[in-house]
Amino acid sequence: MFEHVIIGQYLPGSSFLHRMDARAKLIAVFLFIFIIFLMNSWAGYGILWAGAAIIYFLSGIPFRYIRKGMFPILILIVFTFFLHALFTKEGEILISAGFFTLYKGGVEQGLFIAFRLILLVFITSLLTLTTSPIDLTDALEQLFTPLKRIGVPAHEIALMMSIAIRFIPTLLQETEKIVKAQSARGADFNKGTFQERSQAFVALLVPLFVRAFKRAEDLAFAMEARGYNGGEGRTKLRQLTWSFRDSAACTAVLIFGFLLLFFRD
Amino acid sequence: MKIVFEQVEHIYMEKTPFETSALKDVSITFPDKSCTAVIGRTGSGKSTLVQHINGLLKPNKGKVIIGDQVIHANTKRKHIKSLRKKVGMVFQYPEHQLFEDTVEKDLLFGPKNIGLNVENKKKELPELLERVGLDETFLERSPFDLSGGQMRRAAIAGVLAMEPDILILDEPTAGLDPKGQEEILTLFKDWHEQKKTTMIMITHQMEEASRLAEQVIVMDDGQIAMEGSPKEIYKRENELTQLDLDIPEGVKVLKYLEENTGVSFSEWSLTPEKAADELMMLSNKKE
Repeated sequence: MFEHVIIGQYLPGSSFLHRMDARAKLIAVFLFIFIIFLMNSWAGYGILWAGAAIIYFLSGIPFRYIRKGMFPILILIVFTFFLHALFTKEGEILISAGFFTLYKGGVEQGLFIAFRLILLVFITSLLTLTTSPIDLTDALEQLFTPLKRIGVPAHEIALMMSIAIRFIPTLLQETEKIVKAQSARGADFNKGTFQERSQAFVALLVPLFVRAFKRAEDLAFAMEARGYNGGEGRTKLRQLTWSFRDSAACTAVLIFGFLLLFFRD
Repeated sequence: MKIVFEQVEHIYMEKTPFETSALKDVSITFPDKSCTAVIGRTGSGKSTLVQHINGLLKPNKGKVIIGDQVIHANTKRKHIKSLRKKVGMVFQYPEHQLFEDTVEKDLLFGPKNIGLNVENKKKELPELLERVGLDETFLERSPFDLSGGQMRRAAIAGVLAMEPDILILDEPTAGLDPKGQEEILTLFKDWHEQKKTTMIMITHQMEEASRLAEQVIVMDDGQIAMEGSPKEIYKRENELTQLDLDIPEGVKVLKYLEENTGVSFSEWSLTPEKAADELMMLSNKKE
């Protein structure tokens, strides 16, 4: 039923991107996003697309996974495109009909924003598709550790994230199970009047919340029973290893960014 | 109501790297008014099999025939909905499906959904509660205030209230204490005998299977490994052990006695009392 949900879904593999250190990937993605937001010219976006394509080929991910990840934000992209295209009044007039005028600058602006959003989702999807959630939170924790001195609870944030990520599939399973149980009792989640359907959703949400709270309580007890007391002095089974490949990848993105600065308008 | 599986195949997450085939070319018949136990280790495809019977899952290949209804890969949703009136399903840990603020409302949820007369149903509820080992006073209580065992009973009553022709039980006794297990089994046994409902029960325990079922299906790796009466299945102890399954304690004892003392019992699925009688007779004969 939820076979096709891919929120932060990880696809195991052994491509260049899969083998990169999660910290390096995070840094590279951050730099790439930075570049995306600096760009404001056709040539610049052209080169960015090429860069994104190269990264895509390094990932070995089948394209339909990217497409599936993109689909939900398509509406947002189309919407922002029209918003910018219609309300930016710059450059030559392309079409003019009554109170409605379309300017060249507007269309350009709209396309740039759409490109930005697409590239943004594209590059972050590649990150989550090639990095296991555990590696990702470990990397975040380590990258945030220097901020501990100014009071950022790096370990706790990472723990919260990993628990949240860990429980997404569990809650989806639970949801599926309850949907099935209530469907077997004749509830219909897809058809019927608004009242019938909302009744069906109550029958889903109440048990789901009851179970979620129960689970949270169990987890807290289990952690306490095993003597969990925060991240102080805790060692890791899975070590992240930074290799030459990672330095090279980050440097490449950095140089790519510098070169692109020349293509800014 | 008769249920027939014809070369049914089911694949989870088809066309992804996570693709797993859960049922492989399964053909089986559940006769009308019969009681069948489906056993097998975790992941052998038991739950997948039974979820085809009320259309929660559709076969990727082959077809399932329930009474006069046929379900195949392209069956439309509206055809499946009418199945829900005929097939009741008690899931594992059914208490997780409780959600209303009173037991009465929760019991009426199913009957209302499938269009039964709610007023008539209301009058039948006290009797139904009695059947599952609760009583009238529970009607006004919140299901979340009940004990685990009581919640299970209330949830089971919620499925029985729909008066299904076919009743599917997915490990109905999981997580209960021995006495609770016994009571729940007796409840279903009585229901089956009185209402002549076609019943299919998934279980890990041979013991339960032998108590309730006249036909046992052993599943392994999405296929049917063995099929027959409980007695026939016990005889194949070696095969069962290979599938991580065990024969009931009582049968084990009788088998051990036979092998080590040379007495032979009329059958292995005797109750302790009958087994003792036979032993007495044999020893009397010797004297």
